[in-house]
Amino acid sequence: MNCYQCGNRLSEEDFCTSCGADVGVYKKILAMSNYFYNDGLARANVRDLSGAVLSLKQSLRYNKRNTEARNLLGLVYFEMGEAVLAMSEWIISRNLQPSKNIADEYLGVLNSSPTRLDNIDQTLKKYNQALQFCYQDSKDLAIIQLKKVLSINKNLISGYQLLGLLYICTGDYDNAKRTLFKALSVDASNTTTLGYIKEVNDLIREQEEKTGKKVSTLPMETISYQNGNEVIIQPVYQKEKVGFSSIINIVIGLLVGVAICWFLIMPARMAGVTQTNDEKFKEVSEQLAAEQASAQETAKQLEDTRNQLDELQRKYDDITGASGRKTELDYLMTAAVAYVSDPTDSITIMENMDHISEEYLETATESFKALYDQLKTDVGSLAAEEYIENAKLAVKANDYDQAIEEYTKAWLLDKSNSDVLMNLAHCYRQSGDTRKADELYRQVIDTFPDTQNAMDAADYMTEER
Amino acid sequence: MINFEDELKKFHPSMELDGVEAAVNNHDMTDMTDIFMTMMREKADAAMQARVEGQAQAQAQMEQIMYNTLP
Repeated sequence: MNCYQCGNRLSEEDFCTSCGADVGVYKKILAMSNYFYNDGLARANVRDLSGAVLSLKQSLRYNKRNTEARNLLGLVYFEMGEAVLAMSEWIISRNLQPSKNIADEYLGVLNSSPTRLDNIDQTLKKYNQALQFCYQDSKDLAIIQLKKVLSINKNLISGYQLLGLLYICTGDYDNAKRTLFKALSVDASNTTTLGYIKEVNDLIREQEEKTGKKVSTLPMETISYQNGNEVIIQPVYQKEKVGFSSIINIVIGLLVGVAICWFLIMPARMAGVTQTNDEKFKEVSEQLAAEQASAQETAKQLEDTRNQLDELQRKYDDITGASGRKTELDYLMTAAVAYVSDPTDSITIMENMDHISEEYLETATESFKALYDQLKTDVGSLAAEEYIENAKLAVKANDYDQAIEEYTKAWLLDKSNSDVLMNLAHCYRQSGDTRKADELYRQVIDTFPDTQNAMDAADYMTEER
Repeated sequence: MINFEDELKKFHPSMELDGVEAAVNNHDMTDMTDIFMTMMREKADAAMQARVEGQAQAQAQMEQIMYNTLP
C-alpha cells in the first residue's frame, strides 16, 4: 500500500512517514475495497454470481485500482453470459495495470478466436431482438429467438429469466420451471430467478387446487440454507420412482422404438433398396436393349451378305451357263448361226438380236459390238421389209394390234421410211388410240417436212380436230 | 402475481460488441479514493488560505500597533 500523495510505501502508522500526509481514512477505504473483493470471491465460489457482482462493484467503488476485483468482476460477467461487459472490465483493468495483469490473458483468449467472439455477439444481438419482440407483444417469436440464443450461449442468465417469464405468461409452467432451474444452476441465488420460481409454484398450486389434478411433474419445493448473511435457495431434485412404472416405461419405450423403426427407418431402408434395384433393373434393361440392337444389326449384315452371295452365285451361273438362262452372247451366237445357215431368215435373226439390250451393248466388248452391228446392217433392211409385209397382212385381217407391233419393229430398224411411220399412225387411229396417232402424225410432219406424207398427216390431224 | 409489463421493464438490452469502446470510455471511474483525495486537497487549500489570511491579518495588526506606538 502506497501513499496517495508521495507514493511512498506506508507503514502501520496513520500518517505517511515520508510526507506526513494523513492516510488513516485512505487505509480504511482500501481495506473496505479488499473486504468487498473477498466477499465477492466467496460468493463467486458458491456460484452466487449476482451477489458476487454486487460485492465486486462495491469493491471497485471504494478503489477503482483494485485490479483483482475488476478481473474477477469480468470473469463473473463472462460466466453470466455477458461477454461484452466482461471484456470492458478487462480492458479497463489492463489500462489501469498494463503489466502483470491476468486480464491480458483473458482478452487474448477471446481475441484469438474471432468465431467465438462473433458467436457471442450474435447471441447478444438475438437476445436484444427477442426483447424487442417482447415489447411488441410477439411472445412466440421471442420464445423461439431466446431458445436459439440459449442453445448457443448456455449461461445467459437474463435470457433464461426472460424465457421463464414468457413461459409463465403463456401458462407453460413446466417449461418455465425448467428454464428457471437452468438459470439457478448458473447463478444459484439470483433473486429475480428465485422470485419467478416462487411465482410459478404459487400459480401451479392455484391451478391444482382449482382443477384437482396434478399440473406439474417437476419438484415444487426448494432447499434454503444460510450462507453468511445470504439465504441460498435451490430447487429440490426428486429421485425418480422405480418399480412397476419403470417397467411400463421401458415397455412403452420399446414399443416407441419399434414404431420408429417400422414407420421411419424401415421405409427409408426399403426406399433405398428399391432405388438400388431400380437402378440395377435399368442398367440390365439398357444392356439387353444394346444386345438386341447388336443382334439385329448382325442379322441384317448376314442377310445382306447372303443376298450378295446369291447375286454373285446367279451371276456366276449366268456366266457359266449353269442356270440354263441364255445370255446376250448366246442370243448373238444363235443369230449368227441362223445368219450363216440362212441369211434370208431375217425374222429369226432379229428375234434373237432383239434380246440384246442397248444397256448391254454399252458395256459389251468391241468384237461383240462389231458382230452385232454387222448382222443388223446385213439383215435389218430385209427384216424391216418382212415386218412391213406382215403388218400389211395384219391390217387386211383388221388385226391392228399385230399391225402396230410389226410396224413398230420395222420403224425401229429403218427410221428413214416415212411410210412406215405414217402407216403406224393410221393403225393407232384405226385401233382407237387417236392421241398416239396424232403424236405420230406430228412426228411425220416434223421428221419428214415438205413430203406428201407430211401434208396427209396434217390433214388427218385436222380431221381429228 | 407477476405483471408481465412491469417485469419486462427490468430487462434491458444487452451490450453488444460494438458498444465495448463506448462502455470503456463512458465508464464512471470515480471511486472513494478520488473523493477522499479531492476532500484532502480542498482541506489543504482551505488551510493554506486560512494561513495566508492569518498572516495578512497579523501583519495588519502589527502595522497598527507600530503606528500607534510611534511618536
